[in-house]
Amino acid sequence: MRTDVKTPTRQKEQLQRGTSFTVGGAVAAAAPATLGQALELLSSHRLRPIAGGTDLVVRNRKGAGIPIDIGDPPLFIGHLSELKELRPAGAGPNANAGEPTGSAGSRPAAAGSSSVGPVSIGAAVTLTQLQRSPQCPPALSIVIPEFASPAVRSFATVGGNICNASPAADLLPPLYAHGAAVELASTSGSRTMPIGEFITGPGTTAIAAGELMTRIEIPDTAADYRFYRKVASRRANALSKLSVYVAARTRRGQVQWIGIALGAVAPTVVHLPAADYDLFGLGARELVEAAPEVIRAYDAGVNPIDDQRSRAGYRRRTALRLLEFVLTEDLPAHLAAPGQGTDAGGGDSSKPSLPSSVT
Amino acid sequence: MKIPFSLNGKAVEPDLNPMARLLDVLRSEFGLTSVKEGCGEGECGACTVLIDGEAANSCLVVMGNVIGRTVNTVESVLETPRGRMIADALAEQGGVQCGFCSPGFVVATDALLTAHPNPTDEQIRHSLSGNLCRCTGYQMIIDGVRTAADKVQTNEN
Repeated sequence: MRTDVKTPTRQKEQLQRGTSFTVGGAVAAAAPATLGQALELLSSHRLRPIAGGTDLVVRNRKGAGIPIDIGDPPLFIGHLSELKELRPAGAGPNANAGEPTGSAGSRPAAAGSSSVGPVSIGAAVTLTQLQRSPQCPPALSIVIPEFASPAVRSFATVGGNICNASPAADLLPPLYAHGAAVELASTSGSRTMPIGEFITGPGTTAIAAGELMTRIEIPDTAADYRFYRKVASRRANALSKLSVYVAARTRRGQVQWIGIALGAVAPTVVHLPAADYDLFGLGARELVEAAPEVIRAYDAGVNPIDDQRSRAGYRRRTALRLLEFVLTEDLPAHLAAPGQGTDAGGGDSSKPSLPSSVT
Repeated sequence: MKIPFSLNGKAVEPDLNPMARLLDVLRSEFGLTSVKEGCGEGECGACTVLIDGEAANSCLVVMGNVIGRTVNTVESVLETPRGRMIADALAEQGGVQCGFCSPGFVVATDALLTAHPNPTDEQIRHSLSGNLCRCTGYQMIIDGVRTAADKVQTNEN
């Protein structure tokens, strides 16, 4: 049961008892039984979708004993089985039914590799369900342990973290770096768009009235080099001051592909594919030479703010210093090291040490 | 509107606003005052309960999200041998002082031992990272959880 993200049958039946509650002819709250019902309700009523609620409740709380007011009547979607599937991309709905290990349809994992191939994650999959799934993309499995706390992750959903569109959202940097896309559905059909187009600003997205986010499509995030630092006031349960995510695939001492993304240093995540592309094909020494140009591009791309968590200057300086560390020390050391080709994930004692100012 | 769910082993169906917080409902409708409101925003863990066996912050959970689910508070955790061992071990190791955070720690520890019956220190610290204690300095709580895990293992083998 623990690795199966599907809704238990018992739970579904109970939810079917009440699909929507009306007060004076208007829908006051709705707990639909299916995604189809949810989309129907959303097309004809003013409702606010709520999945785990861990952000919405904090933002709208008024105090002890007072119910949460999220502006419009709630449309509960966190239980919908269609939004809780985690499957290999392209496998189609229910490809994994009854198979919690989820190997059906995915390409066989190479020995010693944590590659899970491209995956399609239902928007209401919780962080805990994702973390425990063998299909959790390695790009996200290094981020989730630093995402809030276990008791928040058991309700917080992948789709919620994306739709809230916080500049400091923990899942966003890896999703940008690897080119993830989101699927939006309404009664008139569905559309898919790149994550960077979906998020239009702090707290704003391209979602239209009547649409729900249904899935997150993530390409294969396998990488033999991966760096992630969330800089916050404490290791657990803290919002990020800034974050740096870099993944690279290398071969014979050269960068084949690299994706860089900086979080919480601009209104949205900063990911500059053209700058990253300039690093493709470079060896360790060339990478060190090319680094200043790329760091300048990211310097021009970030636009941090002062807030209660940090100052703009600290955010810019620290993010760029971490990027410099990756491009001039850590990744070159990885390129020069023998026996590359496994998903590193960190923890190698021979690695250069981080700049002390940010540890 | 009626919200059916299971609370400490009993089926209940209170008639409530579906946007009421589980924390408020547990305290005022069911008198379960072990569930504490500390911060009210998911930072402190004093309101931790088990929902379908997973630790959750009841201050962040609205009633519409517990329809058909299983909620357990420390009251029912303490009715299990493991729950009693956790509480006793915390007391034994000095992991309880003012006691405000203790129900949350007991519940979070119960969830930890479900996921990792023989946890490493790192797993203990990680699992309890969402629970704050302003009295003990944590080490005595970690020691209590370690003692509890060892006792549970011994009793089960």
